[in-house]
Amino acid sequence: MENITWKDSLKLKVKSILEGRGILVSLILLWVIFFITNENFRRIDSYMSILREASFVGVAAIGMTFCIIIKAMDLSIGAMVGLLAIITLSIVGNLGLITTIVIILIFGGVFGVINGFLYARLGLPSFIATLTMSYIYKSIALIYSKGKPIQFNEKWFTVIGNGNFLGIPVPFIIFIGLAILGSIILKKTILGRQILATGNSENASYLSGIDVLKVKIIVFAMVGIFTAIAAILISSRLWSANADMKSGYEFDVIAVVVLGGTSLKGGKGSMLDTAIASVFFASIYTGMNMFHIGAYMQKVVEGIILVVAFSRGGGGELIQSKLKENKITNVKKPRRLYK
Amino acid sequence: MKFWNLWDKAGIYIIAIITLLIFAILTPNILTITNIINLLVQVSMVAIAAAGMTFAITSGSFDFSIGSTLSLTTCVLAINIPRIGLFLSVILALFVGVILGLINGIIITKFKVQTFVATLATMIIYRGLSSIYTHGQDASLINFRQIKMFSNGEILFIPTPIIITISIYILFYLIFKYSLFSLFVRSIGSNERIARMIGINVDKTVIYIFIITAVTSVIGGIIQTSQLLTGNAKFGVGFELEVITATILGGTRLSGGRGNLGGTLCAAIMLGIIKNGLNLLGISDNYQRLITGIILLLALSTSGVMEKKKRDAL
Repeated sequence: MENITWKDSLKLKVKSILEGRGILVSLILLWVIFFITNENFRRIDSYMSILREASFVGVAAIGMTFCIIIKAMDLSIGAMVGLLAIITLSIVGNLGLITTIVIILIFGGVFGVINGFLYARLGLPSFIATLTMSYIYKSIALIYSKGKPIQFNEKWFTVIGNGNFLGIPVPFIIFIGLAILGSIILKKTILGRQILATGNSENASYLSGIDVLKVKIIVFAMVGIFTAIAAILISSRLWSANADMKSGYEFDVIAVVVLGGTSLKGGKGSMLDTAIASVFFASIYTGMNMFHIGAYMQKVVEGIILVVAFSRGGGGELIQSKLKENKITNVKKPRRLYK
Repeated sequence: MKFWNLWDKAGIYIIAIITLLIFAILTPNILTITNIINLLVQVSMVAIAAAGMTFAITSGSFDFSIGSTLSLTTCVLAINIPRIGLFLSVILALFVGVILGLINGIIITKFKVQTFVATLATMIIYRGLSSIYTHGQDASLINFRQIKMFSNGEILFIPTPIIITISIYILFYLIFKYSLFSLFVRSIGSNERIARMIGINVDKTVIYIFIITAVTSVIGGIIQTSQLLTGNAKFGVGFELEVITATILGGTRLSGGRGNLGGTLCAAIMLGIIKNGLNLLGISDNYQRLITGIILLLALSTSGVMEKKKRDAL
């Protein structure tokens, strides 16, 4: 008798952990498949390398999660990373690390505020406003760098992106710290509540006294700041930057966020799932490299992942009904805004 | 309010004329006949694709995949002309365009994905496909010069691209003005739910719209191939932005429901004038990109502010 209740409670516990965490299940399945089929994946190094690659996309994905929660989308971050990485590498030698980080974060925030202003104040669709801004950022980057790559490879700087601390990649530690920070902002602060409310219903939030305009602009500023952190990490990892280096980065980031279960309909999102999804995404890329799939085919696969992720997050009824049988999809529950 | 209404209708023509005057003062060379013909030929690709995009934006959807469709067209033509000849290759390219548009339409209507996210994803896929098709290299047509007739050929001393552009605009204008299809397009753009309620087959109309945008960009791709005699997966990056700029500058409403084909053509020509003028002034490519981006930003902002004003007035 005792035995059965114990089993039941365990079952319930596992179920409650896994519920709505299809991405975690997929990640574990993927890693099991890798472990069985490819001997390169039987070494801890491969997983550490996956975690390192995951953090470069994941850091920006934290900011993007806020953005997609309010039903907006920032397509300018790829160009922004290029521009900020160029600025980072060109000033870090003269100004030192701390000053550079402060300057880059301010730049990121300002870019974000510009995007947010176009979206919130002028009422443009976010994707088209940010796409235009990406065009402008890219041309500024090209003008600033004169089309040439900029390099800086002092050891004290490159260690941020390439080093290990207690065997764990430094970028991953930073990424986890930022993910926890993002999670706290989303779950525990008034701002986070306001963001979720704005995503749920803009009119209702406005009527209940939330300054929707301010929330939207702050969200875009946060996207800019997280992107700036990502830019510092990436430039430190590659110690070389040019204007075109991260075109398509925005799609990786958005795919990660949507794979993490953040709905394109807004009002719902989880930083933990975004973090897991970024590891999942990096695993797929590493896996495709391990199985020698060509770079062009990888692009096609990425596009297909995007379509599938979007049709899940955007309410794709056909795919959703197919997936429902496998219990991967998040069943829509009444949302809990307040605890 | 009267002024704004007038500005809404005719603003782009006035802006275009002012731009032309400014550049005519700065570089008188812009008004020579060869340069004007050259300019119009250069404009034709954007103008043709913008005609299709006008339908899309009028219905409240965006097609970001047209740049990739253009590059895939150049690849299909460049690889197939040596094998199966010019005529069949062009037919094949148009057929590929229809298929690509159909895929976009099916993803949007059957999987219920928002138009811009769906086409952003297919943008990546199509470009990946064209890279795979050409193995990432240039496919040269240097020995197959018959295709030059699409860019250098002349009928009654008018270059073919201009004739193609004009005939497409006449056809689309008639469709836009008189057909039931354009009425459907506009009502979907105004309010999709009500369009569905009164019995319009929204899914079918949307699929047709995406086939139209794909086919128009294929025609643009044919002209591009014949100008450059190469197929390359890198062609057409940023093409979609240029086309959307032309469409929105031309007075098509961002939120859908109203389109302006004449304005689109005029805006495309104006963008061509600006590019051509900056080239003649010797301004480098990077600054040109910056200026194009800022123009798009201004166009969007004024359009956004004006729509906001209208919403507040209601």
